Amino acid sequence: MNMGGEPVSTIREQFDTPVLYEADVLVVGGGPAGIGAALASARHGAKTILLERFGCLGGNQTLTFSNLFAFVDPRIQGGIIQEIIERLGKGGGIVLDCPEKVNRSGWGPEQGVHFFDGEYYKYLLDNMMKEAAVKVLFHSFAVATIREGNSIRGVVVESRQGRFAVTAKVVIDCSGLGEIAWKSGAPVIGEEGFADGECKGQHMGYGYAYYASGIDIDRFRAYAAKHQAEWGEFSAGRDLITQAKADGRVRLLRNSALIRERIGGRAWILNPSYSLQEGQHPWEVEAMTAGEIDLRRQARELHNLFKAEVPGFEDAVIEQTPQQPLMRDGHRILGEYILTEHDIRHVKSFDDAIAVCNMPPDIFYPNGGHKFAYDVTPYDIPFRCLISAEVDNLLAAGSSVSMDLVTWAAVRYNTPSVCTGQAAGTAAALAVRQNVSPKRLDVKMIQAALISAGQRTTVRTLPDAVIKDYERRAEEAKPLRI
Amino acid sequence: MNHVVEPERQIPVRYEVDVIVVGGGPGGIGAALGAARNGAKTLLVERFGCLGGSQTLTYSSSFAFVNNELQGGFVKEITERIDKGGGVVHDIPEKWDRGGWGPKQGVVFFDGEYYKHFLDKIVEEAGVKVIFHSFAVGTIRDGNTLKALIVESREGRFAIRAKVIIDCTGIGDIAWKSGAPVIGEEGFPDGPYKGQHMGYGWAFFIGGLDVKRYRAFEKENPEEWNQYISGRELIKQAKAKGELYLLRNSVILGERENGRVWVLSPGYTLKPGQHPWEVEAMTAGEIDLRKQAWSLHKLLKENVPGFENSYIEQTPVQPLLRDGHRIRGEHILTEHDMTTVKVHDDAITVCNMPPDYFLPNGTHEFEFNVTPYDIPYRCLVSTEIDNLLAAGASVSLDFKAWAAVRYNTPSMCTGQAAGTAAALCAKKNVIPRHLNVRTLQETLRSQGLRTSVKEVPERIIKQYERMAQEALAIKDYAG
Repeated sequence: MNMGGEPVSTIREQFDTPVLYEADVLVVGGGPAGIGAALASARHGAKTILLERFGCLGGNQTLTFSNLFAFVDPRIQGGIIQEIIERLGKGGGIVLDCPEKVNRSGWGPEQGVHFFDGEYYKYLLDNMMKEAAVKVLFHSFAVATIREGNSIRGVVVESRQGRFAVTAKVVIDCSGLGEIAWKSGAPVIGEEGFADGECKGQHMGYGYAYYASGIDIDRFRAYAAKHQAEWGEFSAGRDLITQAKADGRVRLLRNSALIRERIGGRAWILNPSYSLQEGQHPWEVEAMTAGEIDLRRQARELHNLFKAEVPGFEDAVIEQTPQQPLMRDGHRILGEYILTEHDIRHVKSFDDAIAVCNMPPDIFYPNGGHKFAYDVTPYDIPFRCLISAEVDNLLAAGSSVSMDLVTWAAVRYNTPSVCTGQAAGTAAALAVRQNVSPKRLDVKMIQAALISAGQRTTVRTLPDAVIKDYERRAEEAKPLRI
Repeated sequence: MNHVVEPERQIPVRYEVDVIVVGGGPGGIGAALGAARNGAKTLLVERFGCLGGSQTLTYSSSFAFVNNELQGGFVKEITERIDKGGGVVHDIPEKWDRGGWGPKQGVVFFDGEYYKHFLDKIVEEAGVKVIFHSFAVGTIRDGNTLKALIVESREGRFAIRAKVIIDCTGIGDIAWKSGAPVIGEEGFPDGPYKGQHMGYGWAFFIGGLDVKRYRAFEKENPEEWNQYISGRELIKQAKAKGELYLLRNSVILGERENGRVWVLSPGYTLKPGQHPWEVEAMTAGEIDLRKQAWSLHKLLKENVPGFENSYIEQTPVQPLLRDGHRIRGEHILTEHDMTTVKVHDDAITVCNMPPDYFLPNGTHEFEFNVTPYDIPYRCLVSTEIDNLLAAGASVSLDFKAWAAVRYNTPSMCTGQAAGTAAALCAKKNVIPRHLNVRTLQETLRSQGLRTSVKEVPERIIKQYERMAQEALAIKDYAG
C-alpha cells in the first residue's frame, strides 16, 4: 500500500500514436503568451494550432481571475496588447468602476492597470482567433514531445478521445511553467526555487483570488469611510484578520485582503495563499491537491469572517472560485541567454531586444511575505531568452522564458507575456517562411516585423521624457503591503 | 493515418491502493465514500481542481427527485448535511414547481461553491485520498485484469495500482481506453436521429438582475415568462429577424433574490458521425455555446425588464456532455426493464428518474411517466475485465435507460453500490463478478441505501403511479 505519492516501482509503456494534425507553428497554452504567439504567428501566414488544456482561452487571466493587464503603457508595449485593450474597451469589457483606492495603491487604471470582464474576454479571444485563422483545440492536454535529436517533431496530446500527436515545424512553449521544454528533456531552470536568502531552495507558493457577490456596497463603503485606515485601502482588513487569526477563528496565511468591490455588489478578493514546503514543487499533483483544498478552506473561512464582522457582507456569497491555484513559480527554458536582476536594473538594453518591459519584480515569499516596489525603469527582453539552448525549433514565451527568479517575478506578468508571445509567434512564422531554425533568423528581421506590427522592441528608442517619467516613479517608489 | 512510434518509457508507480475511483462527480463521490467507509484504501482521481463533476463544473448544482424513502444512503446524508450547513438554495421560483422540476418534486438545489468545500471535508473524513489535476488517460492491461491506471499531470505521467478500479468518468472513459467492450458508440439506436449523439447543454450564470423589476414584468406576462420554460415569443421573433444566435426556442431562468440567475438554453448539436468526447466537437461546442450565451444575454438585456444592468457572471469549464460510452456490463438495463420488468434479484439501488432526452434538432422530451425501478448489480460489472466496475453515467444501459440513470441522484446511488462492492472485494479478495450479491445488498441496506423497489413503502410507489398517470410532460424547448 502506498498513499503518499512516492514512486515505488516502474511500468514500461510504448505507443504507436496517430498524428491528427500537422501545423507550421504549434503554440502550447492559451494564456496571454499563447494568445500573443498564436495571433502573431497566424497573422504572419503560418498555419498555427493553439493547444489549450481547459475550455477557454485567457489562462490565468480567465481561469484564475487575474482579469487584468498590468501597467499597460502605449509608449512601452504597443502591438497586440494595445489592440486587445482597445477591443475590450469598445466591446464594453473593461471594468470602469474601479474604486479610487486601487489607484492609491499603485495598481489602478491611473497606473495603466486595466481590469476587465473575464467572461467577455473569453468570448473576444474566440473571435480574435477565428479572425486570424488560428486553429484552437480545447480540452487538449500536451503531455510529451516527440524528440528527434535536437529538434521536436511534434507534441503528444491526451484528451477524452485519447492520445494523439500534432507535428509542427516550430513549437512555442506558453505553458506558463516551461512544461514542454521540461517534458521534452530540454534543459530548464527553476527547479530550485529561491536561489539564496532565507527561503533558499523553496518555491513561491500559490495565490488564490475569488469573487464574492451580494455585497451591500453602500453599507460597506460607509463603513470603510469610517475606518479608512483599515478598510478604505485596497489592502484591507488587517486588524480584523490578525485578531481572528490570534483567536483561532481563521487559519489564513496572509494578514490582509485585497478587495476590489464593484457597484453591483460583486468583489474580487485576493487573500488565500498556500506555501510550498521545502522540496515541494508547484507543478506536483500532491502540492496542487493540498493547495486546492487548503485555499478553498481559507476562502470559506475568510468569507464567513467577513459575513459576520464586516458591514455590507451580511448576505454576501462566494460567487466563484478559480479553476486552479494561481501558480507563481515554475520551470522555464534554459535559453541562449538568462535575463538576470542585474540586467533589468543596470544593463537595460540589448542588441537583440524584442520587447520592452516596465514590470518590477513581484515576489511572494513562502512565509506569506510579499515584496513589490515600482523601483525599476523599463528594460529590454532579448530574443535569446526565448530560444532553447538545446532544441533547435523550440521557443518559449510568457513565464516560460529564460530568466532568473527575481526577473521571473516581473516578466511572468500578463502584459510582458503578451509581448514575448507576439515576439515568439512572429519569429516562429518567419522561421517557417525561411525554412530555418528560429536560432538562425536574423534578429533585425524579427525586430522590423514587430515594429511594423506596432510593438516596441527596445528602450533605446524610447523618448527621454518617458524614461524620466519612470525614473521619477522609481524614486518615489512606495512598496505595496499585502 | 500517419503514426509516430513513441520510444518506450518507464512510468513510475506512484500509489498502490485497494480501490481507485476515476472521476469526482456524483458517481465518484458515492463510490469513494462507499469504498473508504467500508475499509478500503481509496484513491479518487479527478481531472479538474474540485469535486462535484457536472454538479459543480457545469452548474448542474442539484440532486433531482430526492426521496428519502426511495434512495436513502449518501444522497440523503449529503442533501441533509448541505442543508444544515446553509448550502441548500431555498429561494427557487414557484414556476419551477409548476414545471415539475422544483423542490416540491424533491429537487434539491444547492450552492455549488459551498458544495465543493463540503465535498473536500466529507471525503477527508472518510479517509479518501484525493488527487486533483490528474487526468486518467489509460490503463495497463494484463489479460483480463487492469494492472494499473495511467495518469497524466503537470508533473508528468505516472501509474497507480489497485485491486479494483471504478470508472466514474461519466462517459465510460476508462473502460473504453482499456479496450474493454463498451456501448454508446452509436448514439440514438433508431428513429430520425439514428446514429447521432445527444449534443451538449450549457448552463451559465447571469448576475446583476433587478429581481423586483423582472418579477413585476413576469406577473404582467405570465404566459410567456412566469413559466419554467419561458421566453418563447421573444426568442422566436428574434430568431426570425436574425437577431439571435441560439439553438433552442426558449430559456429556463432560475433567478434568485440576490439578483443571480441560473440560465439554461444554449445547446450544441453534434453532426452525424461526431462523438461528444472528441476534441474537435468539444472545441467547436465551447466556441458556439459561448456565442449563444452572449447572443441570448444581449437579447435579455435589451428586451426584458430587470436585465438592463445584468452581466454574464460565469460560464462552465466544459460543455455538459449528455451522451457517451458506458461499460458493457453483465447486464444491459433496457427501457423494457425500466418500464415493465422493474425488479431484479441483484438490485443494488432504486431509481425514480425517467428518461430526459435532448434531441439533435434542439428540442427536449421529458415526461415523468416511469414508476421506480431497480438497477441490478450486473450493470456495474464489466463483462470482460475482472477488476473493473462502473458507476454513474458509465453504467451498462441502453440509450433510453442511460437518458435517465445518468442523472446526479441515481449516479450517487450506483456510486455508493460500486464503492461498497469494491471494498468488499478487496477485503474478501474476490473479483467483483464473484462477489456475493446478498452480502453487498445487506451491507448497502445497513448503510441506509434502499436496494430494491421491494423495500420502498407501498404508499410511495402509489404516489409515483399517480404521477405517471398525470404525467406532467416538459416537452420541447422548440415551442
